[in-house]
Amino acid sequence: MKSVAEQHQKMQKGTKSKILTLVLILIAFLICNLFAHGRFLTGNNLLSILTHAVVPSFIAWGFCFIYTTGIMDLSVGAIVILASIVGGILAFPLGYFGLIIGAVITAVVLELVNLSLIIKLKVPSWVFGLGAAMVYEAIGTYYETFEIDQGKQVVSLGNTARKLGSAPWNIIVLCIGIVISYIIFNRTTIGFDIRAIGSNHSVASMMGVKSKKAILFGGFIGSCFIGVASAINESYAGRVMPVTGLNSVALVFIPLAVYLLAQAFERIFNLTISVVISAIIIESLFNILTIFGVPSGTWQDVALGTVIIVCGILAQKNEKGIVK
Amino acid sequence: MNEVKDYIFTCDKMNKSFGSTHANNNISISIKEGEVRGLIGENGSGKSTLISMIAGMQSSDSGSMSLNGEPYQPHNSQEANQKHIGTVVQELGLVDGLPVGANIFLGRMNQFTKNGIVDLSSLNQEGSKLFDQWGFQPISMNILAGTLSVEQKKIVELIRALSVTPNLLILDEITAALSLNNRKRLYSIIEKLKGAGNSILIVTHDLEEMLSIADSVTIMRDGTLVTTKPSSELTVDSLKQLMVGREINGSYYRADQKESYKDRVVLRGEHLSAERFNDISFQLHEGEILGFCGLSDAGIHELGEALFGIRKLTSGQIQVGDSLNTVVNSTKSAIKNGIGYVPKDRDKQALMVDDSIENNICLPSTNEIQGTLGMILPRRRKEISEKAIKNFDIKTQGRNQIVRSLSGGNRQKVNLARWVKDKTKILILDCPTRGVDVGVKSYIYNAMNQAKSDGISMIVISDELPELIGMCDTILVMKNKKLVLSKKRSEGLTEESLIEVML
Amino acid sequence: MKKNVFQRAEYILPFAGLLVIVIAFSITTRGTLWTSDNLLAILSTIIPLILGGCGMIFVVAQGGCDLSVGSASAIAGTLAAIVCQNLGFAAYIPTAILIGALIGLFNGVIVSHFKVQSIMVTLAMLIALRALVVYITNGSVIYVPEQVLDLNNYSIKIPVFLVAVLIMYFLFEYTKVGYFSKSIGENEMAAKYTGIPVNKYKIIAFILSGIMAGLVGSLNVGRIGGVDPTMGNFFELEVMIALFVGGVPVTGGSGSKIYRLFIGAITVSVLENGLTLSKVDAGSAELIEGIILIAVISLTLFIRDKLIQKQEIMKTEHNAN
Repeated sequence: MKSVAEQHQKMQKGTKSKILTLVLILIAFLICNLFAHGRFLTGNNLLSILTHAVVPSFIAWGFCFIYTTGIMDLSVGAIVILASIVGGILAFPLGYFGLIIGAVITAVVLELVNLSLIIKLKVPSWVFGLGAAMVYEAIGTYYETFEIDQGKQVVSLGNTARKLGSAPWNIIVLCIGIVISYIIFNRTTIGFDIRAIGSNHSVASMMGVKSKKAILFGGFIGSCFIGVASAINESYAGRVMPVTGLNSVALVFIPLAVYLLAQAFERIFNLTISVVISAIIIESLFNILTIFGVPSGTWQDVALGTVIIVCGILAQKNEKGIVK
Repeated sequence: MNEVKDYIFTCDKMNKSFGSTHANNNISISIKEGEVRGLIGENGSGKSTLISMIAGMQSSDSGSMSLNGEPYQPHNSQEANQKHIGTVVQELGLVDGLPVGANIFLGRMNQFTKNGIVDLSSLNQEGSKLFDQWGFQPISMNILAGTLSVEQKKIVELIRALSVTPNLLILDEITAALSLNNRKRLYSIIEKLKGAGNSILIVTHDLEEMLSIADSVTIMRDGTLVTTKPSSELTVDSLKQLMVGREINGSYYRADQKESYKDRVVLRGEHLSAERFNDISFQLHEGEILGFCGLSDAGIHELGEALFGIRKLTSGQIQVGDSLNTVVNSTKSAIKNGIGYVPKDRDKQALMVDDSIENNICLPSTNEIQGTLGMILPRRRKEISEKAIKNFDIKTQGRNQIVRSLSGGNRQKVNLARWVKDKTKILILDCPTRGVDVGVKSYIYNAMNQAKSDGISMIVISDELPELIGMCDTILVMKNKKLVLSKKRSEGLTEESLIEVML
Repeated sequence: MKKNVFQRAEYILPFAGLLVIVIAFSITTRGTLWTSDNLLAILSTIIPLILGGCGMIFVVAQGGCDLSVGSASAIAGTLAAIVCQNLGFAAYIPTAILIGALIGLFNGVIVSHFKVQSIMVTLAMLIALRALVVYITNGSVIYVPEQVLDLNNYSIKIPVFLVAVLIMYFLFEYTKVGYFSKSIGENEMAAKYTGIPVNKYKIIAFILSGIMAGLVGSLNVGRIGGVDPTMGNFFELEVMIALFVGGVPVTGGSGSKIYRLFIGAITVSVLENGLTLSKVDAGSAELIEGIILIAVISLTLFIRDKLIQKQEIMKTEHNAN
């Protein structure tokens, strides 16, 4: 049996690898900066990367509480669109409060509907998510045609409630998000229950974790993060347009990549911390692509697909390391 | 009333069925204050089912339980823990992705929660304190359970059970995973609990151990309770007889008491090594039944998987063929050389339970029955499956019946029948009689004898020593990934002599 | 063995669904559904659905899914059109099929050897391949030879269709490729422990799916009369819905049958056609399809669940007697 001293050494090794990883990321950034002739590591550019990383981080935290239990809900993108719109509508009478409450309540209600139906109908979550995404997209389209019929447009914030999406407020919210997600995921009963279910569902329920309750409660917390993400998104963009033809699924591709990469980092950093680091890495990647003049919509989407597959492989490799 | 008070725990006429299997049939047990009760029976006799009902992990179909004279009806393991019943289940394990400390208190974290936040440091302190209190070597509370050894995991499970300050501690096959030192520690823990008026219900396959620590022993067979007797009135032999329910010789196992096989070697393992076993060499002869036994982490099951090419070897060679010049390095080459494999977990690893008997039986034969252009004629599939159903006397309404609707024994027959074909020369059987009743057991032993006389060689991997002693020509014992003993079939071969080297 | 209610339901439901849809739209379209022009229009959507489904069914039978077939068909058609500008028409269909096969190979290797969920890999491919198509077609006009347009003639299309479907039918129902695929869907671990090279057959399934996507892509270019960046959009969803509506279980396994795909493809085609004829807008069409997708899968799983319960009860009774 290993002595405590040895185990202590192991922990220290953990700290070492944390520092080493951060140094490696920094070196990679410096090299990129070299190739970009100094256009990468400028204050403005870094702020822009951070700003872009906020929404994916919040959605990926949402995934930490939903996907970790094995529920892969692909309708989150459509939920974000609807939540942004409702938040936008409520922002006019109620300001920031309306923006956030509208977005969060929409996200929570829709996600809980999804989760209860997935549990109740026993349908595989991915296929349910696709169906739900189609339904939510249709609702968004109905709203859009309704507005157009009225001679109006999809809600636009104009000058109302726009600060949440830009610096410094978005960075402050990001920091609050780090603390809250860390505490809930690592220091609360529901956090432990979710992680237990994700690691080994049957053992967890034998040990007294009530899995349905935990999945629903986890979904509630996760969708709160997704709701906040929607509010920030609306505040940043000013207007979020409904999409059709499952294009909403593409909205969560970057957060999905972030979540997968975070899983790959999980052995080094805590999952919720990894989310922020991964979000910054992935947003940096696309930032560099833009600096290098890689066209968005085409080659950047190719890069996005590649990043997801690579992160998926990395996440899987890590999985193997833990489970035997 | 006085009498009832003496009993910490009683259960009355407990019943539980899984489909057709009546796993517990009117089981009634009473355990006194400060009593160490042994529970014993062959695999599939219903011990684990009874334990999981007491521990709140499964509900009973009918029957009642009472604890300290009050009705006791746990809906989940949390409620059982609250009522001070601690359990270590045989094949549960830990949540690998959580740290040790969280594993000990999972499902009961509220006691460390302040304002919704779990106080991890006091949780970990409490965990360490338990290790200290019960005299186990400390384990860091922060490392993931998945990185622990099998023995460490078992100890954490034991600590988890002890953390509920149990009035009744249930231990299902825990000693098999423990080293001698920790085993002694466990005995002293049992003594301590007993001295404080608490009771223990213990299951172990080691009959000597059972008789030395238990005050009385309850024997189960095929889901029914045979009897409960004080240990002083029991011997190892009488226990065995009560478990099996008949004289253990004659027709149940093999009739002959001498090794018998041809000289030709059909399979040779040359210094086989992989993650879970190290430097294993042996020979299998034509018509020989070769047994492997060992404790749960000895590596016997992994060796079986490797012999069929499922697990990759890090070094060494599996040689087969007429002059042993063919090497098995994949399942493809294993099948090509006539090796068949019956895995340990029938419903998970072997059968497609929601598919027809025909599809299950034909699966390993698919390559042999394809004709031109790889066409597989339904007629050929029908022939094969009906022949197998007939030969193995599988009780079914037809080859299209879904396997799920068969009893455990008949499922195992399907599992065996599909490998008994012309092409199979070597059969690897991992726990071939796991979870089947005595009738099917003896049927399987007969089938093995028949196969042996047909010249098929068999490698049997089992945790049931009587079965190995009863059936094998040669028994190899593994310990800590290594081969430590080889015994030939003989009249005087006893379980004790094997257990001694296994520990 | 007497068939019980749920067993019957499992067989009858897809047919009943088709019947209901046909009757409903016959009424709402006041018979327009049955004009010969419209029937031909329906046929022209059925053909790609069945072709795509014949490939995807191998992946679905294994319990996976292939969301990349829409984008794969688009890129295969586009690249084949470009290649045949230089090499002539003879290279057209082979190129499309080869590209489909390569995409399938890639998907299969990532899924089998790197153990990434098929939904994740193929979703990523869906986006990446579509982006490539947009990039290639953007601003450049791709002329296709006359013969490619001729592919849209039923006299050529139908034989191609029949040959391809027959081959796939044979592979799926009468060879080990199909049997092993269904076994993997029933219990992947059992398949592995029975000695089936699971990884190999996963790759084969994705390659077959890719090949059929390539074939569909080549026919699509002929149908549209040129290369279009949006061709094949949503196609993967339509194929999946066709499979599930026909009664192929979403979890795969031996309930997967090609004839079910036929029923499903007809149902989906009639449904889409009927919705268009009934002047239902795109949003509502998506809503209806989404609800049908969830409802049909829930119903199929519910029936299978009941069937299994029934089997358990039967077993108990059987033993009691």
